[in-house]
Amino acid sequence: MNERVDLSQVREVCPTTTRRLLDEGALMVDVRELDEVAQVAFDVPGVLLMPMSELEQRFAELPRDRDLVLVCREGERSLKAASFLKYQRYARVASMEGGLFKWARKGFPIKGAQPAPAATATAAGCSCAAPGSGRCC
Amino acid sequence: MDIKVLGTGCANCRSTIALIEQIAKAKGVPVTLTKVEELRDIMGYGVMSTPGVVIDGKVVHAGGVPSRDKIEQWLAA
Repeated sequence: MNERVDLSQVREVCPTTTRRLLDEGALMVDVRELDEVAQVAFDVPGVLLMPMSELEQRFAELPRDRDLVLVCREGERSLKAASFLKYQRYARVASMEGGLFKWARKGFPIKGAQPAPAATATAAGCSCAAPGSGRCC
Repeated sequence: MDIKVLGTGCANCRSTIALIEQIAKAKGVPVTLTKVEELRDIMGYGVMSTPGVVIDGKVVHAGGVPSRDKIEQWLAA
């Protein structure tokens, strides 16, 4: 079966950085299951749905020559998925921390029901390179 | 025999460790059992479904608690 690989840390980005990356051509990959997406979805043109339950079979559909930002509900599954892609030698991979909850809390576009409230973001919880710069979190 | 159980601490991971310990003891097979709980270390084996079991550096199982028969086979090898 699998060989062991020393993985580098997965890059985690906040929703604001995610939007910037999308503007610059990155692809958003939503790894939530389809029933979750049916309830509420990221309103982002071109978002690719690849549920965690299908990732192992379908990951080869993902481009290697483009930045990928993986997203989920809270940022846990996307981090795992991003790590898996790193194992599969995808270099241009990031995970959006805070997931859909944080995205919606920022007022960024979603389709469907507003997700249940989660804890409020703080500057201390920001993963951006320059928190407090006014550009993020 | 070096055995690693990959998992972030779920009930199935704990059951897997307990079962391996129990069978190894019953069979008198000396094993070094290690828990690997960090996501990055787990994913370093390319294992998406946990618990995973690694024996002497090789992934032999991923997803769900392994059966008693399967563990006995590993320990007999």
